[in-house]
Amino acid sequence: MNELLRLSGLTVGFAGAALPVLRGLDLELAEGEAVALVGASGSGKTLLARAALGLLPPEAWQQGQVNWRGVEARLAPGGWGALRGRGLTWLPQEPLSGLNPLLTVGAQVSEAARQHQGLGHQDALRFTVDLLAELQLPSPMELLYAWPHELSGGMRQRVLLAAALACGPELLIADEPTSNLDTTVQRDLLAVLDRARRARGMALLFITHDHDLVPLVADRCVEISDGRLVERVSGRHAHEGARAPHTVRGAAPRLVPGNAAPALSARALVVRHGAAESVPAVAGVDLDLWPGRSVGLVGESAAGKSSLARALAGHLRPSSGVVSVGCVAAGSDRGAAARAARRRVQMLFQDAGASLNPRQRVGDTLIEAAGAAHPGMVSRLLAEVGLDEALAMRHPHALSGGQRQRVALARCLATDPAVLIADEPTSALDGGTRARVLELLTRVMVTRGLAVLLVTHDLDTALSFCDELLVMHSGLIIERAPAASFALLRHPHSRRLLDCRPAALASTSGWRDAPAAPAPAGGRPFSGCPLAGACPLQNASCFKELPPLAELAPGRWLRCPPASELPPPQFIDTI
Amino acid sequence: MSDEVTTTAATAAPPAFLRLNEGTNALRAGLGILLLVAVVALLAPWLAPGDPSALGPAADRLLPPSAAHPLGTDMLGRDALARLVHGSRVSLLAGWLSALVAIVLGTGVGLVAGTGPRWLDRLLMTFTDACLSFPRIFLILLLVSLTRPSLTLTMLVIGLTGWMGVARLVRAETLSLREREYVAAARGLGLSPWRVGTRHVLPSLWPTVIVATALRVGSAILTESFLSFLGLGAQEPTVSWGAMIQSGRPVLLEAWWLTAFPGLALALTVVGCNLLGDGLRGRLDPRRMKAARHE
Repeated sequence: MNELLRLSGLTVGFAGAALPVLRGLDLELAEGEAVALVGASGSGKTLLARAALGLLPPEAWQQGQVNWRGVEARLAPGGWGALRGRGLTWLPQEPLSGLNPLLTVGAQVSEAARQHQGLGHQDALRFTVDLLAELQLPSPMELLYAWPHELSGGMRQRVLLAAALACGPELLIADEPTSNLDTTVQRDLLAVLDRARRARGMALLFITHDHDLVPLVADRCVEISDGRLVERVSGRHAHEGARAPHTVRGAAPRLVPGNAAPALSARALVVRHGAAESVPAVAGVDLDLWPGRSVGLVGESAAGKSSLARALAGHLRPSSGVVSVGCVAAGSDRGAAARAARRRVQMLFQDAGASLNPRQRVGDTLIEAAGAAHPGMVSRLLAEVGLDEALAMRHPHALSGGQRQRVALARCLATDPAVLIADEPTSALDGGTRARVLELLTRVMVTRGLAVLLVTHDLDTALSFCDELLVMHSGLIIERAPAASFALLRHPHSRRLLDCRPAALASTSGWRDAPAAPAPAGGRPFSGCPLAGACPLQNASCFKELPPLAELAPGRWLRCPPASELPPPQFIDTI
Repeated sequence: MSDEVTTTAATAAPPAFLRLNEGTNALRAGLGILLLVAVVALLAPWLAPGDPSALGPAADRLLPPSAAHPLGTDMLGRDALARLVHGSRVSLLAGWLSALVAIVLGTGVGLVAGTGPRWLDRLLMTFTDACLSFPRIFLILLLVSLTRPSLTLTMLVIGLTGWMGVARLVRAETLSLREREYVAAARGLGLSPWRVGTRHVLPSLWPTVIVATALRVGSAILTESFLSFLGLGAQEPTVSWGAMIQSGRPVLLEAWWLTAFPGLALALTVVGCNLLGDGLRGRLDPRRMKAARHE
């Protein structure tokens, strides 16, 4: 095979920084080859991609060579401009900012086709329609005249992919194209990307932080660490070597003691973000959180997970329904009594950095949270979350991501709470840090007897950390099951979430050919099940009325009558 | 890997004085100018060559700049340099005090509107908009002409008519600050609204307020001179730059120095304030501060 791209001795650094980010790395890519580039955040993955495209930020300097088909790209006839587009092109991470909001989809995609394929206006539009159809975008003719803001995240990312493919590139550099997408949407995007790549014989450099994605898209995997590349023998190998430990909990799920009272309970909770007649973000949820037990709340984005979490923590005022903390209704949000009740429920945020006051030192934050300064309290709290007490003098910007989340946890603990609501607390962290923070959460929960609600989109995290799983969709809880095994989940939507996990996809042959699910209708125009219309088990009654959350077995509740009549799914648990 | 390694800087490095934080130069220049004016104002009785109100002999009237009178003399034979040096006191005092009145009022209104209940926000902002829509200069003229013109009144009036912009700025900033997650977290800790406001919202407001102050001072100095020019500001024997320009106006063609030097001093001071404001904005912006730390 012919060599396409070769980086030799590539060193990239920033002026003034002590060490270069990339330190003399070599990478070769042949025609039609798919290579995954894996690395933790901040390891220089994106910088490498930009160096390969000749698009380094102005404050960066570079040493070493970037060769395209054996010629140094900088010195090739026409320079970089002649290579980009037809030679190599770029699929960015952020689908919204990657598209021009003032141009229609058709204009953006056909522009690339006109520029690089030399097509006329009409031909370029026809080409665009074919391309959109190939990427399984619904009704491509109408899509030509759609604006980026009218599309969902997954559709935007596919439009970006179409614009990249319209250049007719020999190499596509995809920079974390799925990291902002739900797993279900991610599966569909990876499937169309892989098919399009194979159909064109295009080479692919797929940049990701997720080892699980490697076997899905790449023949070969290189890992970036310490500014150098380490070749992995096969994608599969890297995938197994780097998996985070999955048995964080260790013991069997804790059971609810017979006589205990729930630490927090919600009844018929409804949250609306708009007017009274708007579609609710949380549409009538009943929920109990028990001391010393953790509940995992999973679902796609926009399922209402965060709204529910924030309403339970008292950060959002529910439109109706009751939240009671330790048998005291936390209804009103004013006055000293309500504030005292609120202290019993603490919240951990996804972005710990944003949740800490940038102008406050760690120690001051903890003292303020505790309400009084007892001697030794700060160092005790920091020790409880596994931090050195010297960190008390630091400001949040001088902490790492994992340390910030630990400080945020210490701040929660300073109020001696009964309930901890954690909204995606680890999704911004890298694999190893993530596992350690989850371990810490488990330890704190057990030693303090905290009731924990863990909001996450990552089913594996939920299974390994939690005692019970709640699956949410359209503001409703559609399934409740003990977190002993994924095999206990029966709802068709839960199954779909499970099947779309990269780890599950890797062991499923033919996942690329599975049909993309039709996009669920926005809102809920009829009174039936929110998933009716996009569900393999649907029958006439699904459209008529919302099925109740019915108890299937002790601890197992399901909002899907057809699924409850089915035999247990034939399912190989990948864990 | 080959032994030859080509070196390419991604771009040619800009010259050193441009690579500095852009705010730094403006900050230094502004600070330098204002310090100079402040020193002159503080030490006016010692720096000035003589009494600014002492009338000279008839022969000394409208003398051009010379060794005895570096900036010349006015129609009454008074030394222009002495008057200029003493005038700096009025300009600075009027600028800072009236800016202070505007800032305190504006910050208070903006903070209450930004943190308070929605009806209060509506009320205060409607009031602010009403004040903004009222032609400011007519209000000043009306108030000043109702009573005897004086420096105190001028400062008060400039302050009372200059707070609206600050109020809107502070309110907007407060609204964005109170949506931050750390403010939500502070509320979740059960802190009182007062404490959340003073500990978690207000400190992040300071940069905005400080920058607004520096910029307000410049515009207040201009307004004061303008009022003095119209004869509505400080009255004789108090010397002010605006009044000096006014008194030089009838003899502009014969004695250019009577208007040029006070005008120059005025322009320099206002530029200093604006440079200081711009420089501070660059310095106090947390994102810029972060960048500066990483350098």
